[in-house]
Amino acid sequence: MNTNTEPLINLTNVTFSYRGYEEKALRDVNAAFFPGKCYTIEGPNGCGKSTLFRILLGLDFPDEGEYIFDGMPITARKMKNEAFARNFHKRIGFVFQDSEVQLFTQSVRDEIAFGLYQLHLPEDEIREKTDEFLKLFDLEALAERAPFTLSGGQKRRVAFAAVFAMDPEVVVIDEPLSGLDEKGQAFITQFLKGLKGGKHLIIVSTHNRALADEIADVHVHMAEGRIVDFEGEN
Amino acid sequence: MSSKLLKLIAKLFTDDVSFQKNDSDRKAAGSVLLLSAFLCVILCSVSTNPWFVSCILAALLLSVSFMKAGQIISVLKPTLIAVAFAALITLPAAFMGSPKTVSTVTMKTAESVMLVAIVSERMGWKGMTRAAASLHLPDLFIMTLDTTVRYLHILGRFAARMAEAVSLRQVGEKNWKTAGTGGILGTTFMKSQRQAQMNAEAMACRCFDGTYKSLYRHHWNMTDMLVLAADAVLVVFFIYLQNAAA
Amino acid sequence: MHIPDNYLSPQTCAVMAAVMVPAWVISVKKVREELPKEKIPMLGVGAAFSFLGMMFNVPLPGGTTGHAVGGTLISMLLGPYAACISVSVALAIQALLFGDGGILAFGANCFNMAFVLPFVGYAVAGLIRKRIQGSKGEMIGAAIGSYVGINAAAFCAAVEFGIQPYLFHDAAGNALYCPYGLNISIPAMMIGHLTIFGLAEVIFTTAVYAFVRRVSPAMIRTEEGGKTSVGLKVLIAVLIAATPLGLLAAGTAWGEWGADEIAETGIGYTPAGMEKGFSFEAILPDYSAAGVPEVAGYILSAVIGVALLIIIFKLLSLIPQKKKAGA
Repeated sequence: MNTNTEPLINLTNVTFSYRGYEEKALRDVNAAFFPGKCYTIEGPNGCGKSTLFRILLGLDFPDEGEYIFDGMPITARKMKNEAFARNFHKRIGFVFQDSEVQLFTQSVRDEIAFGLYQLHLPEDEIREKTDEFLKLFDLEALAERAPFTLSGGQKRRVAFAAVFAMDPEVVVIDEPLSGLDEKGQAFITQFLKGLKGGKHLIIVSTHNRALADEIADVHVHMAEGRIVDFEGEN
Repeated sequence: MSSKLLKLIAKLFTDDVSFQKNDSDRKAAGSVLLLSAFLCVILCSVSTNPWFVSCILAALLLSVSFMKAGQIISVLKPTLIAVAFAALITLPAAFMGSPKTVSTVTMKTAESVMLVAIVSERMGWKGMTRAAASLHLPDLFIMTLDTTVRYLHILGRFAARMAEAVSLRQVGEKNWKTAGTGGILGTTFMKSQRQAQMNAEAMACRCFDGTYKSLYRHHWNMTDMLVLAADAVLVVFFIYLQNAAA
Repeated sequence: MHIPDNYLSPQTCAVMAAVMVPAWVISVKKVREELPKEKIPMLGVGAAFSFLGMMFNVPLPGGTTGHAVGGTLISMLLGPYAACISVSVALAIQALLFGDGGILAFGANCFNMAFVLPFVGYAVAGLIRKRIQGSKGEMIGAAIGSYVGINAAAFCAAVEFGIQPYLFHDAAGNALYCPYGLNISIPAMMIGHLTIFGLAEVIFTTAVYAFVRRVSPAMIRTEEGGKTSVGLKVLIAVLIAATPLGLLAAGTAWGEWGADEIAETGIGYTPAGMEKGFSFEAILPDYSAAGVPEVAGYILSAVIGVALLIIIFKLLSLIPQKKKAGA
């Protein structure tokens, strides 16, 4: 069913090391991600998953090699341009592993509305969309609560709602199940399963084999800063 | 130290939950409460008629008596401390030819501290940032206010845990106290700095362009009207008593 | 140093708030222009930190403790304009949620601790860093800057207190607000701040600054040319023009009172007060001039009495509950 021949995201020979560190966090990474598919990035701690995500989100930039997003190279110089950066981030969303750092407003409702305000939608539409996502993530009863006083599972749901409400084409999710209880894990797994076959390009890092098996179209295995295998790619 | 921190965290949390529980259609707007409190403190401060301040005190006490016992404590505790402090500090003035200062300053202090404590109890920090928003303060200021409360909660929890860890390890070593304070504060600061950086990245990922707005809208209700009516009565009463005193 | 309400006259509070408005406007503008967006959350961190810093008792030599404001520290890390906003927010939360510092006096408290303290501390630290190179200069700058900063703030507070009895008193000479003149308020405020609180601020500032410098030197704000210093000069000019000292202009400058002037003020009242002797009645409010029917007094006492009774009973109801919870 792979009708998309053009990859949305293309990494060629990407190498990266953090400032002050000699060791390379990413070595010669080549990858192509197609729209409408779900990729899970698997590998041990320190294999370069988080670094890869920072590159994909335009928070860090390759030392060598190239990152092309929908035909546009993403470079430090281009991201300095605020309009370009905003346009880019409109299309790619990121759910952090630590939900605490991702949530900054004083109520769950405002958290979801935050991104919509940045898109300069009319207020009626923002209100409508916010209500829709409060319902979708079962957050209605918590709508006026401050995100930072919620439990880990509730925070994760808020983070998901806030990112998905902006309707990005690509969603990058770092360890969606870490620190959640069974109920929370089931909720998120169910939600991610529901996205399968949709228009989104989903990239998820996880240690949880069961989750990966449930949701992945392609399993990407990483080790020591390299991608070692694309399992399920046709 | 950590018991103080835990109290702070608890207060931020209860404010949050109580805001959720209370129907905002029945509560007065934070901005109305804040401006009324302001008006009341100004009038008391300017008033030269002790009757005025006494009546306000009586009204405040009456409204305190309607509160729950737990709330009463959190209103009266700061009030009593402030009154004791005011009496102590102004007492010498009685011997320096300014005897009435003791009673006026003490009474007015009691009035203003109790009033603010009541408003704070009714409003909570959420009402406060919402009041700031409806008074059209700049986004930057409101965002800083929200961020501050959030970090008070996060860092308060963190610092309390660390203080606990330090006190658990603290066996017989003498200089831990000083070292501990610098270390706890320093580490807390570093943690907050890392968190703030990640926050900023999370904001950038959601297209942050400086807009910081809330969907919350306060609907004009009966309580607002009542508070405003009380303000009007207050002003009339003030003018009447001020003329009577003159 | 948190001034509660009714120690300063509303007029003084209005003047101080009027001074703070342009300071806030300029600070918000400057922060928007100069602080990179990714550092904006740090404003909240600074405010939260100043707040938490005030909760820590810094142990001092001699066994006493004191607490700090941290204004100089924040200004050295984020710049004085950001510090102004951060400390103002911390003070607003303290005033409104914890009853520390009055709401009328908010402008005055901000003037002292969110404006004078960080700007003076920052300027002094900057001067020293220019003279003494390297880390030594930075640490000495942090120490002296924070010490001078907090004392400048305390001095402003002392002046605000001290001018009250000269300007605001009733016909009988009773002070309406703070009863002590400059001759008392200045030494009373300064002795504490030159010693305990000044030291606490120095220890707080240098300890955290040294820690941050060691662990994350990138955090330290680097000088960015003279851009800030122009704005700084303008603000200091505003400070000089509009401080409460301006209110004093009608009188004599501090420290230059003649003997007869002292007699009119402060301790100078003493003979009159002593002559009459100290009577308890004198401190009770004067009810006769109230212009209220006598019956109102009874109603008022009844209201206060009933309210107090309800409060006492509600508080009593707490006691067994607490015991149950404990058991």
